[in-house]
Amino acid sequence: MYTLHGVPDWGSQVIHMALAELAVPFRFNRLDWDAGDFDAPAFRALNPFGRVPVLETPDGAIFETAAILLYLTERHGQLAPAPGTPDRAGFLIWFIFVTNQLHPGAMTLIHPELPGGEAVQEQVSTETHQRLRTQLAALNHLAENEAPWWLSPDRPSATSLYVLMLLRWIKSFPAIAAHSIASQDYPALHRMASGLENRSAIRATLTAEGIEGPAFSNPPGPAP
Amino acid sequence: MYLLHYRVDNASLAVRITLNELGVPYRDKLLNREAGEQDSAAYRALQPLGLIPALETPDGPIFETAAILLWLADRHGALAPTPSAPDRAAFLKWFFFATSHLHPAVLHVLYPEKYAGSPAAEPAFVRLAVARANLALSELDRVAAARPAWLSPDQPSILGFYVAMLLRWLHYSKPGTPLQIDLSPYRALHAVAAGLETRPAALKAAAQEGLGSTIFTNPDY
Repeated sequence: MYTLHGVPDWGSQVIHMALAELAVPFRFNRLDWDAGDFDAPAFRALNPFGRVPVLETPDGAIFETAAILLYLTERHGQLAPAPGTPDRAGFLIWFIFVTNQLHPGAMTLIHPELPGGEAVQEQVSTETHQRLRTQLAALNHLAENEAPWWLSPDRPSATSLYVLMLLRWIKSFPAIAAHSIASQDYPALHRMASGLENRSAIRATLTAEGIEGPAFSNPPGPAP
Repeated sequence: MYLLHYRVDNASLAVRITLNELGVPYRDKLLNREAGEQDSAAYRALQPLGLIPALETPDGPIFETAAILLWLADRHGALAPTPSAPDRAAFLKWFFFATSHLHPAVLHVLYPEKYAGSPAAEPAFVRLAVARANLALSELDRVAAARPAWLSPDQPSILGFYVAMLLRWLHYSKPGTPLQIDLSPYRALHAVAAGLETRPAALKAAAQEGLGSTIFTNPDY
């Protein structure tokens, strides 16, 4: 039995979706930022940095989104090409590309003040936005031309679920509204989001997190 | 047969040491920075974003340092807990921690001009990056102090080589400026670096790239 520590519509969402797709039993422990749950000693014992997601497993508590995802795929033999298979290399490249490039880029779009302070947040956001567009174009090109199953609209993977969550973030939550990025600009990624968000496991996860509508292919734009 | 596309003293160093440690045959190909070879059409066909290193394998080219290291470990069943091993979870947690937090923080400390957004922002940017790097180093030092097989001075591992290479980089400072980070508190990590740099695989890599004999603990910049 797994316990996922998270917050609806935060970074724990991709783990929440992966657990639902794997159809394994788990408990969702909803943390409350305002109640100080992130600083509670019991939570800090699981993750000294006080961040979500954290997944408690039979092999101990794991943090780092990519580490949790890879662990789950290996343990359950789903959502990724298995180690030793020929398409593992391609999968790993782009999985790590998503966690090392897209994920921090999306975070910077949401909090452009964090890397260098408020004085330069506009410039930081502008550069991040441009870099994300280049990176998304590369990912879209791959999905369009090589069409690996782990970026397809009809079969979820650790990578595609991860990309889905980030597509939502970069559309809905940028600090500077002009830097919001719509998945429609990347047709193969948009089709992937449209296909996967209608799966029953994904719909159930979204409902549990209180999210309605096309959460990944066409979420609302940023609040004015 | 693998083909490693590299630059001297680049992140490709961790891949080279790993290949040496695995004892697998490979060739290497130097990418000339001045000639802009990582932006050439031939290299872009291999690596669309011009990232270094790239490793050509029988399963196609691989890029992203962490992806290459993890793929090599899994492919050869060495230098990391195997996917079914009980310590795979702990290994993955700290491997991804190193690649997601320590690696970018080190780059931000060393090359603020590439990441800060503007010259005026660099001092504040570096201060924040130094704090992030120190936080990551202290957590990894705490982990290394327990001497897990996957981050140990006595046993080679992809995480050990990766972290030791990042420690190497932190010995670099621009001419006339002090080191940004005092590494002396991180004794367990120092032990990992000191243990690993004496391995034949590391000494061979140092000779291949002309980097001296104490590549991790006392690099010659």
